[in-house]
Amino acid sequence: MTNEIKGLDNFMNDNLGISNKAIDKGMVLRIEKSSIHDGPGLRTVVFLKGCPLNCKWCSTPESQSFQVENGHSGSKVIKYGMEMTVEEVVKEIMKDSVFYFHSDGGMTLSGGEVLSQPDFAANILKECKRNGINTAIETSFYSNYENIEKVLPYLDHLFVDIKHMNSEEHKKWVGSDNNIILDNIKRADKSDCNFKIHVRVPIIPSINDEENNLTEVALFCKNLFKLEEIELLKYHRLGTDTYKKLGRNYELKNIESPTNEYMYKLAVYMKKIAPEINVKVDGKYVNV
Amino acid sequence: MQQHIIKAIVFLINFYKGDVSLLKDNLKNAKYLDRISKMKKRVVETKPEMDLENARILTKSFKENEGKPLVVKKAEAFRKQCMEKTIKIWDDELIVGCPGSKMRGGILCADTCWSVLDEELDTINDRKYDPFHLTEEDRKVFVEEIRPYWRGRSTYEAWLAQIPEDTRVLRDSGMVYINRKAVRGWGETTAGYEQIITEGLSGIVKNIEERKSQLDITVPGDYEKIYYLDAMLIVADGIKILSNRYADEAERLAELETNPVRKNELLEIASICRHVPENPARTFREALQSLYIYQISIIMEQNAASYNPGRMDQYLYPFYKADIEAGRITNEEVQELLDCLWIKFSETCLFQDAITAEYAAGYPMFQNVCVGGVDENGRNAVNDLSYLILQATIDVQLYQPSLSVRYNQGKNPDSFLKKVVELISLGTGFPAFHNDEVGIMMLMNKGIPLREAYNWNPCGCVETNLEGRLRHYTALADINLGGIVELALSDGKNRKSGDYISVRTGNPLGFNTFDDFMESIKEQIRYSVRAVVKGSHVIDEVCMDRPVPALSLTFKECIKNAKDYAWGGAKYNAGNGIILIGIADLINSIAAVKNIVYDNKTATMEELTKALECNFEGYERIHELCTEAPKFGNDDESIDWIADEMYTFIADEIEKYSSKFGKMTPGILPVSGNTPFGLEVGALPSGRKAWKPLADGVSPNGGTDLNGPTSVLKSVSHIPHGRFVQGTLLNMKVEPEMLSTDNGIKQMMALLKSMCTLGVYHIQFNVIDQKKLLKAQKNPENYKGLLVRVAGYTAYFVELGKDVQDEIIGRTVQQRV
Repeated sequence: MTNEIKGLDNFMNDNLGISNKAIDKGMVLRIEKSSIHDGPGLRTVVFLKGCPLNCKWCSTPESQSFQVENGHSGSKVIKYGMEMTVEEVVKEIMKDSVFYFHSDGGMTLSGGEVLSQPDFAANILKECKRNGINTAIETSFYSNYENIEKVLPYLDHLFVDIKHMNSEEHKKWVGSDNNIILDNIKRADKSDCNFKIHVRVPIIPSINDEENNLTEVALFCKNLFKLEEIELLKYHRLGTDTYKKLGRNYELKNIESPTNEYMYKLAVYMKKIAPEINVKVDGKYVNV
Repeated sequence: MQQHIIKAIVFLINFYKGDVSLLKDNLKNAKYLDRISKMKKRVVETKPEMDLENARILTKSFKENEGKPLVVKKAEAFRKQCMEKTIKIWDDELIVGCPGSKMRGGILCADTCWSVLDEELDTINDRKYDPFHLTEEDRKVFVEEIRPYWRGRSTYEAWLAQIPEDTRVLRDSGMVYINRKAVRGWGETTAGYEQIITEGLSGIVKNIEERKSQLDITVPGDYEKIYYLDAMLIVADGIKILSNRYADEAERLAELETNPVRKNELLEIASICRHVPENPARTFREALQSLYIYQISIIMEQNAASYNPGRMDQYLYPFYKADIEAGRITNEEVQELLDCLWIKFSETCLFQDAITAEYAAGYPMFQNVCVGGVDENGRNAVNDLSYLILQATIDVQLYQPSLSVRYNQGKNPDSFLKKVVELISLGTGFPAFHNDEVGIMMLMNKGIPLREAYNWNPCGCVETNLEGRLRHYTALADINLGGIVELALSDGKNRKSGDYISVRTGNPLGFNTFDDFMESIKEQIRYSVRAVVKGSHVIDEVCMDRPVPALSLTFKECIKNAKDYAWGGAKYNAGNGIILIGIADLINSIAAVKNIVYDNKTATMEELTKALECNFEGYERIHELCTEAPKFGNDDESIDWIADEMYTFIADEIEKYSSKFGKMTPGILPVSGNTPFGLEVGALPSGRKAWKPLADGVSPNGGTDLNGPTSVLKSVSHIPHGRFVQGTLLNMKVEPEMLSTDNGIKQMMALLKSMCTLGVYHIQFNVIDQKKLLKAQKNPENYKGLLVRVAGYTAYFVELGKDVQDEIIGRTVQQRV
C-alpha cells in the first residue's frame, strides 16, 4: 500500500462498523431501472453510497457520505441510503432480465464509489455473471488496486472518469491527485480479464475543457489495449436541488452547462488528436 | 399544419434507413401534401353539427311502408336515404363519400335513440363533452317530424322500460354503465370489406338470389327468410344508387370545373363510382373507393363507433401489387390516396348522449385500421403496404382512423418495429401496439379456431374482432371496481347517496381476517357481474328489433342463414363484452387494507373506514399510511399477486355466464370511463381522494409508478391478459426527447419486444410533455390540432372535457427510455 492511498480500503469498514468478512451487506443509495445512459441496452443501475472524492461538480451529492442521510424538502424528509444484502440487490436486478435479453442490456454498479465497497461490489457482480447478466461499473478508480482486482473478473464494461490530466488541478477540484487513478487504468488495461474500457471526461467549462487537457487525455487513451471509446459528458446542474435539500452549498454556481455544439467541437478536436480512437458525444461517435 | 408535416418528414429522414421507405420521394414530391394539408385544415376547422337529414328520410320512409316487416322497412328507408340524401364532393378530394349531409355531422339514428336528442335539445350546443351545433332548421325538423313519429318506438325506450331493477339501481349510482348500446347503433364489428371489394355488390347479390331460389314460402320458416333476403337486395340496390349519385355529382362538377387537372380528377372519380362497389374493384384506387362507399353506408344505416376497416394491408395488397407491377400507379400516388382516405375517416362524428360521451369523449368513431401480424399460414404478413399505411398516419396526423399494429415478435421484421417506434415518437398517440400472440389467443378463447384466429384484427379501442364473421358487443357494459371497494367496505351502501344499492356484505368491523375482507370484495363483484349479465340479456332481446341488413351484406353466413347480424346470423357469435374499470384502484385498495389493517396493524378497520368516510380530512396519518402502502406498477411481489388472483377470479366469474349467443367476454378498456366512474366513488384505501378519476385500463394509478417503464410492464404482466378477450389497455406517457436519439429508438424496440415476451397485450404511448398540455388547456385556440391518446383512441385534446384533460396531464411521466 503506498502512502497516497493509505486508509482507502478502510473507508467502508470504519464508517459502517462492519468487518471485512461481513461482505454480504452494503450501503446502497438507490436502484434505478430502465436506464439507457449507463452502458449498452436497458440497464438497472445500482448506486452505492459513499465516495472518497469530493468533486465540486458532483451531481449526486447524496451519494458522497457513507452514512444514511436525511434531506429536507419543505416539511418532507427524504431518506438517502439503505443497507442491503447482496441477495436483495441481485434479486432486484434479476427482475428485469427479460429487458436485458431483448436490449443487450444488463446491470451497472455506480456510485458513490463502487470500489469503496469492493467485496460487496464483487459479490454482486459475481452473482450477476453467474446468472448470465451483462455487468458494468462506473468508477473514479480512486482505489487501492487490490480492490480493483476483486471486481475485474466479473466485469464486461468498465466506465472510468478522467477528470483532469494535471495532478494539481485534479487535486484542486476533486480533492486528491490523479496519479493513482491513471496508474490503476494502466494496470487494469494489462490485466488478463476480458472487459472493455470506456473513458469518460465530464466537461466542466473553464475547469477541464482546455485543448491541452483534452490532448493529454487522448494521448493517454491511445495506448490502452482495452479501450472501447472516449465519451465526453456534458456538465449539468440537475443536482443543485439536492444540495439545497441536504443544506449544502453548491460551489460552481456560475458555471453554465456547455452547448451541444461546443461539446461536439471538443469531441472532434480529440478525434483529430487520436483518429484511431472512438470519441463519443451525445450518444454518437464523431467523425472528422 | 404544414409545418407539422414537414417536421414529420424531416424526422423520418433522420431516422429511416433503407427498407421500403418512400421518404425521399415524399420530400422531393411533397406537392401532394399540399392537397392533404388543405383537406386536413378543412376538417380541423369544421365544428361538429347535428345532422338530421338521415333521420328525416328514415321517418318519411317508415311512414310510407307501414305494415311491412321491420327489416324491410329498415331496408326501404336505407334505400330512400341513398336516393335522397345530400351528395357532396369537396374540393381536392380523390376518395369521396359522406354518410350525412355535412362534414363532421352527428347523424341521429332515430329508430334507435331519437329521445337522446329530445332530452338534450337545449343543451346539445354546449354540453361539456362532445357538443354538437344544432341549427334552428334541424331543431324544427326534429320537433315536427321525427319526435312525433318515433315516440315509444325506439330501442332506447325499450331498454329503459325493460332494464332489470338491480341493474338500474347500480347504473343510477354510477357503479355500472350499461346504456351504451341503446343510445347509438351497433358498431363494434368488422364488416367483410374484402368481400365488397373483390366480389362487388353484384357478386353478393348473386349469392342472395341463389339463396333465395332455394326457399319455398310454403315451407314453415321460409317466409321470414325470403323477406329478409329481399331486404338485403333492397339495401344492395341502395348502395349502388348512392355510388352512382356520387358519379353524377362528380360529372356535374367536372362540367363546371375550369382547372383542367381537377376536371380530370373529377371525371376519374365519376368513372370509379360508376364501377364500384357495384362491381369488383380492378385497381387499388377503386378498392379504396369501394371500401369507403361501403363504410359510409353502414354508418348511414346506424351511426355508431367502431366500424373497423381492419387489416387493410392484407386485403388491399393484391390490388396494390398488381397496380405497381403493371406500372399503373406509383408509391407516391398510393400514398396520396391513402392520405386522402385517412382524412375522410376523420370527417365522421359519433353522436351519443351526454353521459355516454363522458365515457368515450372526443366524437370517437374508432374506425380501427390494422397493419402487421401474420397471415392465414402463420407467416409474416408485413408488406410494403403496411409501411405506406403507417406513413399515412404520419402524414395526416388526424384522430382517425385509429391505427393499430399487430406485432408478431417471432415473425415480423425489425424494420417494421422500427417504423412503428418512429410513428410512436411523433406523439400522435398512434399506433396502438398489440402483441399478436395474445390477440390470437383471445380470439381462440372466444371459440374461434386457430386457423381463422390468425386473421384477427383490433376493434374499436383495443377489443378483438374477426372480419365478416363475428358478432357481439365488444364493450356492452362497464363495472366500476372503485365502487366495488367502496361497497365492500360499507356493507353495500353508496357513499354519495347514502343508499344501500348492492348486496349486503356485512359491517367491515366484523371482518376479522383479511380473507373476510376479500370475500366481501368478491361477493360485491359477483353481484355486479350478475346484474350486468341480466342487463345484457335484455339488451340482446331489445336488439333483435334492430336489424342491420347493409352491414349483414358482407357477413357470408347472414346470407346463408338468411338471418341478420343482429339476430345471430354471423358465423361466430360470442357473448357480450363486460368491461372492468379501476383495475389499479382495486389492487391498490386491497393491498392497503391488507398492509394497514391486517399485516402491520398501523390502523384499525374502524379508523380506516372513518377516514374514508371523511375523505381523509382530519385523518392525515391514515392518508399517509394509505399512500405509502405498496402500489401496483412497481414490480413489487408484495402487491402484484393480487393482480394474478383477482383478475383470474373476475374472468372466471364473467365466463360463468352465457348469453344466447355464447360465453360472456371480459375486457379492460376504460376509453374515458374512468373519469365519470371516479366522480361516483368516495375515498379509497389506495389513498385516492373522493370523486377523483380512477386509473385507466391496466395502467397504474397516476403518479404511483415510481420505478420506470420496465417495472410497469412487469406488474401489468400479472394480469392474465389472454383471458380478457375484449382486450386490455395500457397507457404510458413518454417524453418526446426520450425518443429523439437512435439509441432511444433501439431501446424502445427492446422494450416492446420484452412486453411481448411478458405476455402483455397492448400498449400505447403519449409522447407529450406536460407543459404543452397545460398551455393547450389555457389557450385551446392555438392547439386545435393537438392530439392526445385518451385511452385506446386519439382525440383532439382541446375538445375533451376539463376532467379528462386533467387526467391526461396527471399521468406519470416516464423519465427514461
